[in-house]
Amino acid sequence: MISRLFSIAGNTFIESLRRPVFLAVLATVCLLLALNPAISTLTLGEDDRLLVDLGLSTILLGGIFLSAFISTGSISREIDSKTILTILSKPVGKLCFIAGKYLGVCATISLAGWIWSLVFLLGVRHGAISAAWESSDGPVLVFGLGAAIISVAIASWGNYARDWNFATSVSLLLAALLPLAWTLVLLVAKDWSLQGLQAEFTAEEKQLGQVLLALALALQALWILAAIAIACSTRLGQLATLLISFGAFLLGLSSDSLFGGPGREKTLAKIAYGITPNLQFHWLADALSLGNPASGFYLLLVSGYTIIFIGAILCLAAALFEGRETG
Amino acid sequence: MKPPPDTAFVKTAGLKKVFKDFWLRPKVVALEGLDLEILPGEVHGLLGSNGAGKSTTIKLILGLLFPTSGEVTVFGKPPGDVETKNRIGYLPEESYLYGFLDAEEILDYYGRLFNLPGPTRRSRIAELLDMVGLQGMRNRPLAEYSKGMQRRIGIAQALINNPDLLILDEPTTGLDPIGAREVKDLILRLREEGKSVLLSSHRLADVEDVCDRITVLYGGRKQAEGTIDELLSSPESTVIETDRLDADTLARVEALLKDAGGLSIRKTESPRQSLENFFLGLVEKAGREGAETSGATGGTGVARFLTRERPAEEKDAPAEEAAD
Repeated sequence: MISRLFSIAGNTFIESLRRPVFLAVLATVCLLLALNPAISTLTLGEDDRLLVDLGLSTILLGGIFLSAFISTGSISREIDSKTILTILSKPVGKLCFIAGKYLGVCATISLAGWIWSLVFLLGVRHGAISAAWESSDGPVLVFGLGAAIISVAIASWGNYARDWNFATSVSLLLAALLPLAWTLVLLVAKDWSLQGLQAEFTAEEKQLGQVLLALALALQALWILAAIAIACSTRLGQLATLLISFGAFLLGLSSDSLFGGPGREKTLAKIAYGITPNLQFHWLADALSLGNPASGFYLLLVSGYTIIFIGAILCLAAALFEGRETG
Repeated sequence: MKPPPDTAFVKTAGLKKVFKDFWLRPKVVALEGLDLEILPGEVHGLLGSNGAGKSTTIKLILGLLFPTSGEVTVFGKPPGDVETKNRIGYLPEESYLYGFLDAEEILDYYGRLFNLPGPTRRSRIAELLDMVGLQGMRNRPLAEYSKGMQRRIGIAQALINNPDLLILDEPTTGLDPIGAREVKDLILRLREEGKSVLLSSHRLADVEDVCDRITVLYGGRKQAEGTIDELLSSPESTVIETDRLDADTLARVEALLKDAGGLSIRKTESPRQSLENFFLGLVEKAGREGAETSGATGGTGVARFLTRERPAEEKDAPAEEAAD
């Protein structure tokens, strides 16, 4: 079953990468994140805080969009286009199919999240230019732009000369080259002098460790939303799934205030609070703004919550799909 | 001379399928009380007009639809049994394929779903692409394929696991005459190898050419079942084919028939070759003369792994398939 599971996941991953919408969302969010240091200068004194806030929000919203386009149709599209007939007529159980689709969607979202996170981290290192006498961060521009240009150039050559799929190759190249660029940036200070890897992590104003924690949790929120979209997609069309996914996102960010307020002792409120994904656990930007750092233990706790929630949602998805005719 | 029923690869008893509307009210009775048996080594034709219940029957056999009542067993197990599907190949009525993959990638994907080991997968893919005449286009995305070429890939994917039971829903739709002839040859060859084929088709000539037994459906009910000879033979007349006869000889034959019991010749004609044979002859000639085509070419015959001539390592593959 495991190899079938990974085959379905791999196929879903390749399909998602080759869809034009993936590249469109990936590129748009990368551009917004690259412009983030410039946009953050519009505030007075709070620019570095805004830089982090804006970056995390952009990644989360970009992930929601990507998830909306990829997860919501991943099963309903197979049913509508009837490709599912050729899959389920082979020795593939419905649970395996659902789990494989989910893993493939998560891999796609994670790949995009990985690329966005690195662009964002390069932006965090660059920082907002809050005064006219501040100069740009040369290493960030050289290594970051270098990685992007090399990726696009190789992908273009591959597409022209070898029929490589451009979106797939550019994404994979960015995923490989951006970490290299970021590592180089960590080793080279703004004035091009060499520094230790830990230098950026220990710089108090950057809160780099907390930013990484926030990114990991934001990615988990996207995995939860993808699971909800997959579950809906087993029974509903793409539009209905899209609406429910956005509803889950909004509820997830406000469930504390909606169901955890004064009436929280009521049974209905308890049920609603229990079944609604609490994405506030995954949203660290506010805590960072208020100077309340999260610990590694918090990451573990929220990861546990994420795993349990996703497990429950996928069980529901499997139950919904098991009784569905696919012919 | 039917074998005992318990040896049937597929058996349905009183199979009924009713499609319901949103309010769960019965909307369409697609199938009503169908009893069907597909025996080992037979080619069974499923004939019927549009909406007769042919595709519904196939989807019930594959467990893609659930019966309203009645029973289906496939290799003695319920149709939803996942492991049983290792022994089945299925070509849907349309070639529902992933357009973003190329021919090689999609066959590799389906091969992986059967847990075929890498070397087996690769050799089968090469043989199948040769068989369906698409070796030259193996790296083109399927979205760029013509309908007929997609059909050929559909046939290849149905055979990747070397199935014991092949279910073909309108296999020759969209195929050119070469492809259609190759499919028919393939079916006959698979029968020789002891495999069973369930063939659903509108093309009566195709069914007549290859099927041992047929079931005719209309309105979801079985209207007739039997061998082609049982259903189609016409005992009231006799056809004799000889070399061309001149008028004098014909007159003498007629006189002989009259003496033998007052019989007469109702019709004489010089038979023409079929348009199919004429067309295939032309294509073969063009191919021999080296004419180029950007489309599918004629296949190179049935893939070796589907026959008893398959290499020794291929014979081990089913054990690995079942290991999952």
